[in-house]
Amino acid sequence: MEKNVNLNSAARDDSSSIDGIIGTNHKSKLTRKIHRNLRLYDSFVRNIQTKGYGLVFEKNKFYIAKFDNIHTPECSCDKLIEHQRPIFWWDFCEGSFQERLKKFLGYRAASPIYSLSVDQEDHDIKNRDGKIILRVSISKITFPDASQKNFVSAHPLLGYEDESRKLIKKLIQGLSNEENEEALGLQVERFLLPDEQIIFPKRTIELSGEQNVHSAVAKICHVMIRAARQNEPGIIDDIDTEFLHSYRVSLRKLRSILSLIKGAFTADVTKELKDEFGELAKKTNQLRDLDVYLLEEEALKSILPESTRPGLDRMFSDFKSERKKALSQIRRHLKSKKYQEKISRYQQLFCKGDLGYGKRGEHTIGAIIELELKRHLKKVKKLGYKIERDTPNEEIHELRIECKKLRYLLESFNSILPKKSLEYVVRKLRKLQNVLGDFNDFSVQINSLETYLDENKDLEPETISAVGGLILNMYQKHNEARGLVKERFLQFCDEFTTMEFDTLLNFREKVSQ
Amino acid sequence: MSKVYALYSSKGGVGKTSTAVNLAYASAHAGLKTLLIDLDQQGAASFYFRIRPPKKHKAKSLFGKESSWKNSIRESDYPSLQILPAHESYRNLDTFLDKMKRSKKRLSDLVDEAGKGFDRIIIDCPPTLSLVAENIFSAANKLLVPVVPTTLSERTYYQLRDFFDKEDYKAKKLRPFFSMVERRKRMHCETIARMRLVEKRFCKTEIPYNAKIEAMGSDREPILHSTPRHNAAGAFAQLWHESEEMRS
Repeated sequence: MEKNVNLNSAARDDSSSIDGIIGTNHKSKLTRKIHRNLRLYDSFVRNIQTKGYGLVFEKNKFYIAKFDNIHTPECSCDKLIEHQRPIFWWDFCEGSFQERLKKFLGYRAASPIYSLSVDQEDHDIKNRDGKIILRVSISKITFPDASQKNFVSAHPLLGYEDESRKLIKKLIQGLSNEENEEALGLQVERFLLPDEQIIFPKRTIELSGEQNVHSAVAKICHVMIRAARQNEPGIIDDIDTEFLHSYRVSLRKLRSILSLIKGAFTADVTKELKDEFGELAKKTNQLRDLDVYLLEEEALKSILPESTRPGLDRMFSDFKSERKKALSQIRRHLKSKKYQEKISRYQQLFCKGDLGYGKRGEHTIGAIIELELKRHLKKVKKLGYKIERDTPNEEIHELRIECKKLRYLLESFNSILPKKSLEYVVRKLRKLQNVLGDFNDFSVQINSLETYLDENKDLEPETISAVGGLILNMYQKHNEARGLVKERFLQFCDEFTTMEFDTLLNFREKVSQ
Repeated sequence: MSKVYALYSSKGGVGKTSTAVNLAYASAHAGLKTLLIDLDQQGAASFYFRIRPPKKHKAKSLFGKESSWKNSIRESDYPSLQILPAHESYRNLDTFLDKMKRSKKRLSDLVDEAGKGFDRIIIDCPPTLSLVAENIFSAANKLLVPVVPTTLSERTYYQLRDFFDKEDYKAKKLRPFFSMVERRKRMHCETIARMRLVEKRFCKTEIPYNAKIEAMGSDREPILHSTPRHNAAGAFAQLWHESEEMRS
């Protein structure tokens, strides 16, 4: 049993004050007094914090702890294989710590966010026989803003829980200040968020069904442009590959909203925006493709028999040097005056909504969403039902793109659509998109591997055969994914999903009722 | 499966409890989750650890179906070491066991159940050669028998060995060791030499007679903890290592 008690920082924390609280039947003994410096790490989008945990660095050792008990390691790892800042899950030796970090971080890197100092005193509380019945830790935690708080954790010994319960109660009554009882977890979390709130990739953009199309689209575009821009420093510093990925996703969402909700702005402006942002995204294509390959290096190698794996070394080393070049280009581009001026200008325009009204600019957004959802769902269904064994790949790609549009529509306007139905439908759609995504990824990879073979005529036979092996494997997986498309599509069209779609497509009626 | 050591002798005052307490400490100190079962109604082992028996704990609760003895386990002041304390009602253990079916196997059942949660179980036994003793003979993997090198103790040990032969208990469970040894006494030296010639099972370790061990009653802590560098503490540590190296 463990009991955490939040104490007032004004409380005394030496043995004499504890003895005064626990009464004459028990005595306390100070057993340890230590000073600890804890450094909290997290990714840019706070992957660890959002799960209620902290990654803590203390004395060359990392540990994972819950927020409300941040000074008590839950799972730790002594060994950092490669010491680099920032850190990735693969920098640690195999084991439960690495597994947990992998789940938290994915491809994200964790960097130091802030430090805490802890002055900890451990006391043993003994009964009249001199037997320890309770162990108490009092930690005075100093936060980055110099505020201090005391926290007590109490561990009764087995068999002495009842006797200890009374003492813990006395300690709470004697030391806590009820007006100031903010949980440790909340205190710790408070400092994890930067001053300017991060725009999380799945953040809901608050809209009203009654506002006009022009303002709704401008708002989404504004949020997306900010979301993209917050990744610029991370891309330039090459902290992790997810910065570029998020940057691209934000730009893609921005462009797709312009296409999906046509007529928000004038046709000329819409075209200009689409072209400009398309151009910006295009510049990052090569770097992203290389990132995907390099992240998958181990997984791709493991596809091949062990003896043929070294054949891929040449290809990956080529990719690494290409990535260096591509990264320098992107860095130059992002830092350039031209880019900065252009993107700031668009950000300003979206912010002020100064873009001129298009044909549907004055319409209410709710009506247009209903219309567009109906249109795109119809398209998805038309393409999906047509799929047979001999359907050309192009048509499956077309279905993938339509599904993506539908998903963007659903997700971008999630603040005005009925939540329950939306979640159900998106879950089903995601399953269909997963196979379509695999189908596309494999075909892109096959293409780029074939291009690599075509462009590098001086390759060793080992490399050619290893790359050939990969291509073959990807063909198989590509076909497997293709084979699953129809099945997943039919699941997407089942009775329940159709019912939930009905709710979504008529959401305004429901609201007015 | 946990390993069970019982500190047993039908003679009193030969150093069973002080050895049990220190071996239990040594076991826990080695990182093994250890349970010390105090079966002696006098409760000296519990006393050394400053543990009083819970009010509801009675002899009856040791062998009931509900394993209610588990609620009586107390955590000692030392990591990984827990104690099942004794109670004065243990003086009636024999009468109690006598009324039960499988009366010689009841302690084995308890030890089997306790063994699920512990790496080592150490039993401090009462000085008796009765039904309780027979339960201990069945339950323990090793019977560590303290022998004071005197004529009476020698006789007691051989009586035990004969009892083992007669009742078909496995003699290989018996591991005697010399306790309260005073090398300056001629009789002690002669008895040790004589017994080692006849009984090859004796542990190499000898626990010396020492005031520090006697003082455990007032210090109320294992000497392996209070004065780990003392030669008596060293002897207990050595006995622990020797016990662990024994083949089961």
